[in-house]
Amino acid sequence: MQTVLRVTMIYFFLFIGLRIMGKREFGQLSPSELISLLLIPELVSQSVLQEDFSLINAIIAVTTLLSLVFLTSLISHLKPKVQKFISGEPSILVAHGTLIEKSLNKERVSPEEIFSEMHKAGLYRLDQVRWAILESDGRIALIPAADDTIQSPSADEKRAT
Amino acid sequence: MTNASTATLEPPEAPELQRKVAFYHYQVIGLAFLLVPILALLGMFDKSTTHIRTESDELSMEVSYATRHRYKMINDLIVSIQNRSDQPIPLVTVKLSRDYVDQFSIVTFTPAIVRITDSDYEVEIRDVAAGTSQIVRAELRGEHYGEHKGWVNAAAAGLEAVALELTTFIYP
Repeated sequence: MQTVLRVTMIYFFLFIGLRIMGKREFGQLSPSELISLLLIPELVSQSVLQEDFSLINAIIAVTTLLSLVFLTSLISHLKPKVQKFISGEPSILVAHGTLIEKSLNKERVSPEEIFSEMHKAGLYRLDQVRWAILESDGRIALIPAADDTIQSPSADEKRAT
Repeated sequence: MTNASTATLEPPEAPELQRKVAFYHYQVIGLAFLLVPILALLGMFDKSTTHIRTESDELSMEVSYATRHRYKMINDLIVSIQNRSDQPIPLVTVKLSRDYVDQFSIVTFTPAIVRITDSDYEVEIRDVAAGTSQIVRAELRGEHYGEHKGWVNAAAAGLEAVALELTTFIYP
């Protein structure tokens, strides 16, 4: 019965805590949110498993973690420089159909990955890409060329494929 | 964007925002969570010990114990009995109330318990020389949440007994 009570308490405590943190989708976690969510089970598990024996210890640990996440997001919202430091800045990988090699090497992104993302967006030639940007969350955003959004393959290209 | 060539190479930046602190109503309630680590830093949830003392003409008793500690944590309860008279005391019986002790898992009791009655656990101290002290040590592990009250009593034949009240809060 105690285990049930302890797990229930931890469940509601975490639920309320995470709800109050904000309404971001879990698929778009920032690095600090990801670290927090990975750490919370470690902090809580001992108390739930009764190895540490103290529920108050787990509550203190989780509250501390949530407070740090909250304060980090508050400071980074108020101070754009802090936000850039915490979340990083987007990197331009392709500009006007040209691969930016320096950025690709720094970010360790291969041209094949760029093309893979282009294909998902319905693009198949590099000159169809106005910008490819590696965003702070690790995803590649593609902005098609304004007047060449999606072109049909030419007759030659069709034969080649 | 500082020049035309850069403007063509980089996408436009996001517009400026007047950044300020704003919360939903339910998030304001969550600010109370910030108090927990602060209180923890101030030692609110830590173990707290105390020393209490009482005496009669012939006996003095000092008890050192935890007034607050966490669930399943082991803490010492030390009862120090001093013979204040100029005569040796052959036997002092120290009693700890069951109301209090039963809230813990007893790990060790030194000297060992000699009797368990409906109301107390009894330990005997023998041959306490004049002006000297002897101690009873109990290692108690918090077993039940909440506040627990009890007493400790020391008595010797023909001498006035001394007693102290104990109160311990165990965090979940």
